[in-house]
Amino acid sequence: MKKHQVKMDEDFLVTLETNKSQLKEVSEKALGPVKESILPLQNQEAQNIKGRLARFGVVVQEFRIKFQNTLPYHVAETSQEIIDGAYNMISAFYIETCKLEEEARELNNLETLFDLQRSSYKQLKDCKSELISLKEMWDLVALIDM
Amino acid sequence: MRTGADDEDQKIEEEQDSFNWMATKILKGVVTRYPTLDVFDEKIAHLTVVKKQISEMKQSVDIGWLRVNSVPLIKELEKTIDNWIKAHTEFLLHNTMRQIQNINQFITDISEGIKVVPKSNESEAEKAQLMAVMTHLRDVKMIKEKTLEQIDPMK
Repeated sequence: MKKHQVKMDEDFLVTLETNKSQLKEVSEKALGPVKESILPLQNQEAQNIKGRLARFGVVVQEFRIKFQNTLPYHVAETSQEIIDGAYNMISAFYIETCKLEEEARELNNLETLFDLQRSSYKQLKDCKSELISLKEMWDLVALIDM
Repeated sequence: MRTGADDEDQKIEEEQDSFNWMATKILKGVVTRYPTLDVFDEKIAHLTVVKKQISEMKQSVDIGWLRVNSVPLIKELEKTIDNWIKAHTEFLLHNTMRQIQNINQFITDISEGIKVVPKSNESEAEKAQLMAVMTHLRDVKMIKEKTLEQIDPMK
């Protein structure tokens, strides 16, 4: 902007330099003494979160098993009733997957806050992509059955 | 078992998170999808050259018995070019000013937010305070480097 003679407040560059040094200063304070002073509390709370993460991990694993055992992956015969049933099941599991994803996001946020390894919850991602494939498959089944 | 692809996914997610936090703090109200500063520089330089060429045009031209006064045309073209240059530089200026405001606000928020640190995490209030402080520390960790990188090009 200097190069193109843009009119700026005289203290613009001073403000920028001040911002830069203030940001460095506040960051050093936050990540230095402040972080150090709350480290014991952080570790305690991290333990609580780890417990919550373990419980949620079990919930996700159980959900994945239920998902694979319940959802209509195979089409043996078709009728309007079977197709409607499949759609209802896909919808119900979609809603449940979204709820778990929401909780996973909340836990991921806590993991980031407390410097914990971020969990990927691959099972939920698999569920989501399979739900999309199942919906497409049953759309085709419904189309053929019409 | 974690694979290389999982690690790659995680890196992408972390990068996205970092950008999202930047977006909510430093880039609030700031246009982020625009050409690089080099492209702006090139365009403004080109417009300046065109402006110079226009100013050097003859102010009157004789065509046979007819004398054409080109001053009004030159002035109008110069005004148009000035408006174009102004559009480019003002966009950069406003965007930068907004970003500076956001950085100031961020510094104030963090300074205030880390003033009081909880002594324990027994009560709900103390837990909430711990979460608030941790959030500020996370923000600093996520945003600091990228923000510092952006300050110098603003000059």
